[in-house]
Amino acid sequence: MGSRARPEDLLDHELPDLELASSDGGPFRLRGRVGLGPLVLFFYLRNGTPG
Amino acid sequence: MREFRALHEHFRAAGATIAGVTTDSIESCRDWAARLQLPYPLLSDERRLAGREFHVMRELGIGGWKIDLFRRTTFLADRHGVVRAIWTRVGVRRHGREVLKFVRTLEAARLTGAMEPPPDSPRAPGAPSAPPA
Repeated sequence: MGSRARPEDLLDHELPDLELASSDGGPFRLRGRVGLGPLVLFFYLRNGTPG
Repeated sequence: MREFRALHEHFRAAGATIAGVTTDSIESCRDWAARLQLPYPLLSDERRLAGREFHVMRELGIGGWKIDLFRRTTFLADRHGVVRAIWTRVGVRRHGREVLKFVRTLEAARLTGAMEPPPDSPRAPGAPSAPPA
């Protein structure tokens, strides 16, 4: 049985090339900041949850 | 979320962009970002594409129902788009400061020409390979 993928597997790998709908309007491309600065991407449970 | 809001100017001064990702709809993200007056965007991942790519999905059983949500996880990518740190044990308090500290370390290392952050900096907080805090 193969091991289950973990978030840590992405360490030292490029961000997935995805676009998500942004509350700012329009799409947000995860690699859109490449060359400009670091990107902090935090995943959270739901809007309205603590944190 | 609120701590990232409070520290947003510091992140911006360090050249970093912040974005939150949730399974909620884009309408919900717009409402919530406006309600909290967030200076950074919330991203809607209703199809769980990012959730699967980043391996943060978890399934919760509530009664006879099952819902899939994200585990609280934070990723930091450097300016080349390479993931340099991952926090899998995310607390509500002090997490923003930990991430900001690492952003500054990352940028300082870049400005001084070092390829990697100093060895005494956290590499992957919360990961099995992380040194003790």
